[in-house]
Amino acid sequence: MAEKKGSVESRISPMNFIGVAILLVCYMGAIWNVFQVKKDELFLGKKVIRLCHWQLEMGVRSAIGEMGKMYEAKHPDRSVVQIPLTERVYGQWVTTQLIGRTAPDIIEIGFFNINEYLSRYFIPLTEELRKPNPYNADNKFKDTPWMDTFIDGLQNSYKPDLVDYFSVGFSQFNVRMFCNNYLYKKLLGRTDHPKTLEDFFACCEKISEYAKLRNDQVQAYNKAHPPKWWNSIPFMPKTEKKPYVLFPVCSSRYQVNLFKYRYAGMLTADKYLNADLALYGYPAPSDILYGLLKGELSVDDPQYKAANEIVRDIAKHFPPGFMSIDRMDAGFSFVQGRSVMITSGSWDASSFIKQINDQPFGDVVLSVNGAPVSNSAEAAKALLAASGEVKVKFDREGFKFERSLLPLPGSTLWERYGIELDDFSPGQGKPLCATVVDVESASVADNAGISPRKRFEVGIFDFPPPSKDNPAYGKYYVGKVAETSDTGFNFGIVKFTKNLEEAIDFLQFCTTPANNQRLNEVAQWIPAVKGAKPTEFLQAFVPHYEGYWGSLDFEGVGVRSKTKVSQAYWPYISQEIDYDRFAKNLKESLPGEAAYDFLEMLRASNEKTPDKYVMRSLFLKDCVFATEPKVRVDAMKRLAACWEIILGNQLDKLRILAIMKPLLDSRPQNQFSEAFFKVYDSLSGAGEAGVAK
Amino acid sequence: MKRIKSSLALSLLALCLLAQPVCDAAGASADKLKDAWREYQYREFDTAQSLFVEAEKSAASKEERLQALTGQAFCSQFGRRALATVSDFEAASKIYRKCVELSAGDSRFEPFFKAMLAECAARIYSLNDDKAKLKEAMDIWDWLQANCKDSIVAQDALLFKTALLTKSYDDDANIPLMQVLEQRLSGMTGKSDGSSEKDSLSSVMASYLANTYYWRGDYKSSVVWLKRYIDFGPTSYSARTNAYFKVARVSEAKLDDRKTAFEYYNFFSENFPTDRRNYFAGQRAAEYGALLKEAK
Repeated sequence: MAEKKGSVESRISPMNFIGVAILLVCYMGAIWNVFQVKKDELFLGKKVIRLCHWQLEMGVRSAIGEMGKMYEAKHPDRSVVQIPLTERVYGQWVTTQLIGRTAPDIIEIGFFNINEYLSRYFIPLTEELRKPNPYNADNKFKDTPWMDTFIDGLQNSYKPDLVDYFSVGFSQFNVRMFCNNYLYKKLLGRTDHPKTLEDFFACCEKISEYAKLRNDQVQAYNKAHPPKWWNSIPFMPKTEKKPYVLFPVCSSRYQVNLFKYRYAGMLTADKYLNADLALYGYPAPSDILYGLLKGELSVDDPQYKAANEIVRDIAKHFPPGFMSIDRMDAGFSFVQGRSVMITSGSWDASSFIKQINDQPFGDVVLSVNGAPVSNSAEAAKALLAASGEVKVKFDREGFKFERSLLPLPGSTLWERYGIELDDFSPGQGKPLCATVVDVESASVADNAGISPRKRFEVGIFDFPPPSKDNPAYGKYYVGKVAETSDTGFNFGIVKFTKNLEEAIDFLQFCTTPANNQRLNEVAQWIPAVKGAKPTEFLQAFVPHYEGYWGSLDFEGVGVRSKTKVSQAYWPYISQEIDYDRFAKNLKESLPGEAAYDFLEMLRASNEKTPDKYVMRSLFLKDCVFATEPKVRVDAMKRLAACWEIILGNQLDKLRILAIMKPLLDSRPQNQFSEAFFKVYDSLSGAGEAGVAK
Repeated sequence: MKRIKSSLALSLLALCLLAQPVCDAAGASADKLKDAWREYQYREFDTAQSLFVEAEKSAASKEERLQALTGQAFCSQFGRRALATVSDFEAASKIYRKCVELSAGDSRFEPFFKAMLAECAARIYSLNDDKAKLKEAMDIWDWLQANCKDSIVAQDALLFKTALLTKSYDDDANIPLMQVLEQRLSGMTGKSDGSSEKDSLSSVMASYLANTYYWRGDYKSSVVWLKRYIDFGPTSYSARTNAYFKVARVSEAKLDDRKTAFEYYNFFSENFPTDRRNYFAGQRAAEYGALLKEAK
């Protein structure tokens, strides 16, 4: 037996231990990783403030990192760890961590049910926000409540339903058009950006024409020079030219929505205001439904139609298949110079610029047949004058190389070499030099591996409005859209935090005028604190308040209506169907869905209230039991705010019924109303069960 | 120096040793209550309920006991929110009755527990249309108005009653409810900072009146109460901006009162620069300003 065992052992190869060794190495790696993460807390005894966010745009992580370093320098016993996550998993990750009570101390607010999560998992910051920020002790805000040091007074951080402030914002955001200034000037021969919609469309047409011309040339060339059999051999020069890819505007669904709300505002803000029955300036969903039932609002409304048609007209200049790409891909296309314009927010500005600056500078022509050239005119002259094989020396971002080019017949650089040259300075005061800015595919230059310039200057401009004399849209133009100054990039503190004091302190540190300016300088975003100035580049994003607000949209009636409008909208925007078909689809489906939404409105107004009574009970308890006068006075104020919410919710149903009662009685004779009541009658007959269905 | 007797020294020592756990117990029960209310705030009602029960057992004073009992009653009364049944309110009522007994004659606590009893009775009435329960609630509400109408508890109860009994805006049954509120607010000037108990819920009452008048079509009275609401002090920045905007819009659209419209649009334009409605308000103010100048 022992002999048998021994023989088995002798047959065990040392190779069998490799698996164990790999496992050990991995285990040690994991231990090291955990040590790196936990060392500050467990071994150095530091207080670790963990912060998570979904801002993966370039610069943001560095900005938070810099704030962390500055904070750690001021407080050596503390450490700041940021956890950046992709927005695709952010909501789920945060939810899991909150439920498991393992969440970071500070969480960026978003991608979850905000009101529900704030009340369950976050600490109200009202008390702290009412006191001055201690880090402002040496500036003009030393006696100013922390909340009043923000540009918007942190209005959107206040949650009326919860009667408290829950977050602190670091930045402001706004939306604009981004432009590839180099291509814009090259193709349109001008530097000023379009000020009117007509001019914008004219620019788009010219860009499309240019792209078409280039592609026609490519097709003609390919037809005249069919590929030979050896062209298919790998590494052999290609003779077939690739299609030229350039679109006036790059977009995805995300960008379409930016256009949609902006132009809908410009053309229908007055309809929105007139639909408001309570006269606060913001119509409730029931007000829109009232307008539809009464026949005052309709899908056939010429203003609503014009607003949608503008976006559809703009979408004609998008790349085909824009519906299936995401916003990051659309942005990447712009960065790569495949489109002249794109719309996005200030949050993308730094990403775009950093990515553009990381693109190739373009090969610089140093000499032609040994004769140095100092600018594009000299280089072009020398290249055109040369006959036979030409020896050209290039500089590719410090790397110098020489290529022998055999020019084709022709009178221009493009015909002979397939290149375009222009003068650019490599920066830092260096003189202009002859830079290759375009290379035609399968040309002499392309086959020689010459690389064109991909960097460009970015221009920012506002959405161009239709001019008054625009035949299709001019008469419907109401005015510009007023932009908001709401702070974003909001962070809240979780209730399970062991470092509450430190977490508040870190937020206070990041929101002094100087630190907030620094944070946003690195992130290339707009600061949210008074006295902090945006960088010169971001001045173009500073919100303008002149204009109107809101737009007519039937999505607002309720969730089911929103789905129907969305289902009809995308085929329409992608040119699959025209406006008549879009309107017909909505007329057929919207009334029935609106009936469901109406009953849901009534049900929701009943359901919202009980939780508010929980809040009221807390404030009432403090009014009765608190011994400190300050706590009692504060509780009384909050109780009043809470009652305002309760009455608002509880009486909302009565308000809806007060509005709708005359219509429910009279049943107006119009297509929408008839279709609505057909479904409403069947549902209200079935009561709550009908609604549930 | 006079020597103290050994028996006295021993007694003092015993007292000190006994006092320590008593102080600890007082601190522990206060902490338990704090924990319980925190869990209640986070809607962890089961945990809160058990902590309140523990806090009641270890209560170091009558006040703490009452607070612990209140917490238990709140968990029954509010914890199940929309799913609350008659038995939940009955369970809460039972605790409140006990609290009323414990706090009899105490002007700080007795009205509160009575108001809560009335609220539970009113809830039972609205769930199973029990008229006797409504009568019970009404009697308590009358008692509150007669005995401590300026207390926060009585004002809160008045609002609860108003909200519960408002069945529709155009119902004439609302008129007595509105009259009670108007009467209560008639002598008040507003302009307080909300720290006075007497008018702490006045702004909410004024808001209720402004809304009710508006939806009943009495726009003039609605504007009157909106102005009073502004005087009493809206509870948030957005409520304040909305109130100013609404006074201007109603005066313009429903009453053709250009002077008021000008005044409130102008105030809005000058005082709420970051509001999206600011430009519109400024334009309207300029328009009405010019018209008023012409009329002069």
